[in-house]
Amino acid sequence: MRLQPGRALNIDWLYEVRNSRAFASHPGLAAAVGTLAALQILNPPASGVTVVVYEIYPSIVASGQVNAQLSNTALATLYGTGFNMNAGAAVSVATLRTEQLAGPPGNRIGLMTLPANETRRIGPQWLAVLGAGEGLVALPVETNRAIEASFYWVEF
Amino acid sequence: MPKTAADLLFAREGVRTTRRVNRVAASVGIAAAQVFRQDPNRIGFRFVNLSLNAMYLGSWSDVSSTKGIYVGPNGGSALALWDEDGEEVGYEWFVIADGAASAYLAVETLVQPER
Repeated sequence: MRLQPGRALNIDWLYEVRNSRAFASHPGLAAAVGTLAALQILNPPASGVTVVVYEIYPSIVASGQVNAQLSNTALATLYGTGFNMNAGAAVSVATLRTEQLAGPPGNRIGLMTLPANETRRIGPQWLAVLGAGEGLVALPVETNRAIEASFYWVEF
Repeated sequence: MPKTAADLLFAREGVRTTRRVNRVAASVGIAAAQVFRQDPNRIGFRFVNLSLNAMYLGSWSDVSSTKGIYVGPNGGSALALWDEDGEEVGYEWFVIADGAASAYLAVETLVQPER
């Protein structure tokens, strides 16, 4: 049997933007007493696509710690889908969701301490690969904190 | 005097051939699935991984990442010919991928039935 290798698998953000596979969204959730404001990017079950999270930039109104957690449990409220970075092309399959949680879900994979009203990337670029039914949550560790975050990802 | 590739092939091998593309399916997920039917008329096949996930090929139903021929993502391919790989070319073949909905191209060359 004759075998040939494939091309090197390098994901380049600009290449994916030009090929309509790059997406962005900026969900937010207000503060609520006694709960954690959580934002999630979710690859829906049986979606038929693989989501690779490129970057997450959270911002909170009071200084504190923000965590990134792998959690496949869909948050309660649908915020929407992602906008295609090739303007006018189809929206994303992945969805953004929000919920006020009693405690952090899933498994923590990143954390960052943020000054008030500043935004920085949490974790490295190309943070996680989400198969169908898998999700990634960003949330402050203190209760009663509003949060916004920019999510950037590609879908294959 | 042979005039076409088909004539040359018939002169050399004594058979005429035909082609089938993706006869069973065009994608696979994380469970092993058939890619080529058992067909003794098959004299060769070409398998190309069009996805970004690794795939593993084999003529056994329990093909897996630890029991399969690795076909790399992004255009990795496997080519089997009857005069190099023997009867196995006509066996039932299975494939499995590292991710869901992984596309591939499966092209078979079959001996045409005698008229």
